[in-house]
Amino acid sequence: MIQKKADKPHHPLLIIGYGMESWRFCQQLVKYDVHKTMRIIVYGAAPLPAHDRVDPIRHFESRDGQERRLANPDWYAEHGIELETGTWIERIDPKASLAMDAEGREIAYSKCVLATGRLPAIPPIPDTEVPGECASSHETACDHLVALGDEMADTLALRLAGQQPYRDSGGGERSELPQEHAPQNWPDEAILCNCTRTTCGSLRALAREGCDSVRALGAASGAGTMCGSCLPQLAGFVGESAERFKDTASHKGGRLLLAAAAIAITLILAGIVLPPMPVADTVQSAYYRFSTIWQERGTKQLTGYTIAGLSAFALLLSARKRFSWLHFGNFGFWRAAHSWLGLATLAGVFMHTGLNFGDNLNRWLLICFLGLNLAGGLAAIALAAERQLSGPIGRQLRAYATKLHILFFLPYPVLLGFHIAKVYMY
Amino acid sequence: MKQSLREYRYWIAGLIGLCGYLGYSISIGPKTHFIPGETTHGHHQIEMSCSECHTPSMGVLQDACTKCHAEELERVNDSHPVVKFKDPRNAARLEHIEATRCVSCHREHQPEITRDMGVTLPTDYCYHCHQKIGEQRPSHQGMGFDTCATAGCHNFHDNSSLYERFLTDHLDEPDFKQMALTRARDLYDSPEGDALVEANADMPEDVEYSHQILHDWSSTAHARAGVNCTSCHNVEDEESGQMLWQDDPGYESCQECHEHETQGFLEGKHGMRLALGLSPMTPGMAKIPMRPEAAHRELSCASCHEPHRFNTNYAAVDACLNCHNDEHSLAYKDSKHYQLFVQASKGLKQDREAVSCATCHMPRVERSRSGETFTLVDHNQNNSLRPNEKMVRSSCIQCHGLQFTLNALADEDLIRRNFQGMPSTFVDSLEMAREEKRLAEEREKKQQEE
Repeated sequence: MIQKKADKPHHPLLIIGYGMESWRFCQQLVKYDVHKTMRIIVYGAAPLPAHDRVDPIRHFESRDGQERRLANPDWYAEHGIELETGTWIERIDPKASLAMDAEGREIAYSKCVLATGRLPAIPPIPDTEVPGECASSHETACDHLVALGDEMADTLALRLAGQQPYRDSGGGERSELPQEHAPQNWPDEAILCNCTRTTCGSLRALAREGCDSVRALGAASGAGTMCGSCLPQLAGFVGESAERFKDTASHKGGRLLLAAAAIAITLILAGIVLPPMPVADTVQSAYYRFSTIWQERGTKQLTGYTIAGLSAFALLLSARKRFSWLHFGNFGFWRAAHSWLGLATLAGVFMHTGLNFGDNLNRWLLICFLGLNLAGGLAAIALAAERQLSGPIGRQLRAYATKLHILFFLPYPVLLGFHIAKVYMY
Repeated sequence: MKQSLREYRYWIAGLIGLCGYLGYSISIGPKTHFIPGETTHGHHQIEMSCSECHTPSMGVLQDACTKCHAEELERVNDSHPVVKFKDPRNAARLEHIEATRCVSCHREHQPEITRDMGVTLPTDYCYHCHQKIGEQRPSHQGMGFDTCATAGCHNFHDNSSLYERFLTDHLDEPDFKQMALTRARDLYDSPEGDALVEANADMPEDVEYSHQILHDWSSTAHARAGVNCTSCHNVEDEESGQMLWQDDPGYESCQECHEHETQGFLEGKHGMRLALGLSPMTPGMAKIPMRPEAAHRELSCASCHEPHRFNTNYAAVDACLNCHNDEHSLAYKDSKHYQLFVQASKGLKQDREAVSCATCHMPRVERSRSGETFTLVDHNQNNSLRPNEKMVRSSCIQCHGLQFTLNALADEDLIRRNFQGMPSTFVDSLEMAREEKRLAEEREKKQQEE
């Protein structure tokens, strides 16, 4: 079966693996009628069809091995799914969407799903992570897998069927995992805490060495000390109740965050587009007295230090990720508070400058400040969008906006320091 | 943490660089990046000499302003001197406006609120203290506070040609006076040393010179006053302390004899950079229109006064127009004033009847020193401009009536045309002064009768 690259949508869906997740996935594809619109090819290195590996003993108890067999080749033929057993995929070129099997045949695919498990072999593919006994499309970023094969197979099938898959937004309504699939039983190299890149292996090692609480684990490895969304999973490693951490792990304050972001972005855009506040043309008006707020030295110091102080408070969100004594309250609320503090500094800056960007250092500082807040607002919007959009786009938007937020933040203390120094030196 | 450091390493390195650069700038480097806003027309030339006005860690002290401006304020009898506001009776007024400090009304680097004369308050600031003027002076009833300082009425500082007594003293003057003569210079008019001739010229042998230079020198005032080549060209060398020949001596050489003129030059817009040890002013730095080809000319005494010929006629008009390119300057040669200047140049009229650029902008003024009064040319053009009533006494009323003068100075269009035509505005102050005078006389009469 040598296929030339034709127009991509008509290329088959290539499923590598013939185990229980592959079967589960095919079942779901059939359930959602994906097989009717898409050519599907399944590659299995082993000649035997999928069987229940969770309880393999029963397989041997049965007389002919049929009883625990999950699917037979006829089922595949019946639904028009091509089955290639006894051979395997040796190489995958994700950029060209080409796979080559052991017999040298090239298969051009539109999507390729790896459902190989850990054996017989995971094809060496660059730019792809294969987190153990899980199935995943290689086109999807594979980090932070917290669901098991079945759930992923379901999700993936649903997505291929063009439907919005169920997505967990943290501590929500995910069904409880069976004990044997709980994170503490995940493979050593599986990453549990994505913020600190801590693997299950190192967490297990720490638990063996005597870390007996989530807090101790966090202190030793940093895991769970940043965004906190993995705290319930960490609990399993030390025998604590996951229930206790559900609240900490969930991100509350989403609406507050979004509201602050929307107001901030509107204010910043207005600040950029609108001309500076007009100059009062009479000392007899209330507006003149108001406008002295951004003109008089005294009030300027007041607003200036208020902004600096609020900025320092906003920095506590970052500090919370680094200092354990700040680990109280829900992370979502901290983030919402961060956003409202940001909004308050924005209001302060408007009062400090009267929307006048000034020249030179003052102008750079203001641009840096507005960029910082704009990127922060965008990150918050992207966070909300991530929940709506799902998948890599939302995640990437948020990552870019967060990175931009940090990039704009870094010069802020430098410019602000020189701004204050300049005022006092001259 | 380590990962973040790695991720942002280039950016962080850039920031460390920025820190270093800004640190260098704020301490020993040029402070360009720290200027918060455009500097006013009065100070932009010297904006890079920060410490001239800013005292390190003390901001702008009163002294920063007074060291240049105090002399003028005292000379014109400032109407609102600091001492007036230090009077306890005026303490309450200071709550509205801190009038003991120049920067309360004149703030630098704030172009968005800077108005004429570098004032950074709304134009009706007089309201703060003079709210009841309508009751005290019925003639002022109904007038807006934004009209107080408009041309021809009041100035905050220099009212020397606007105060009531001065107005009543100059009522009913003709527009054009019969004796229309400017003052005559009387300083340096008599030579002090023995007159020199070409043979006395004492330049070193290796100096190249033309006979034109020698002729110009020997036939003009310097040779007549016994000022030889080396008197100006020998300049003290900073390193060795020896007097060495210099082909182009700076203002310091002129200053030896022309102290007042040089002082005016250094205080004015042409020389204020030199006074602070900066590079000479060039027309390219100016904020008002200048001829593009003159952009790189450097201003010193010699740029207007040809070094050996001292043609004051040239210095009074052509030297100006070589650089100045604004409407008012360009219209000068079509004006009646210029006609007078041409006639005087041809000898058809007296020198004192000519009206050149300098007549108004670098006028001949009377100054006193050690009880002696003399007339010299004021080379600081700030003394006769902004507000323009400053030139009333020093030049305009030598030839024109006060009413005509104030009318003309209030007519911006007429100024642009360099006074071609008659003023279209009418300044009421003289008539108001006349009315006040009449009322005062009536009151006096009544008192006498009683």
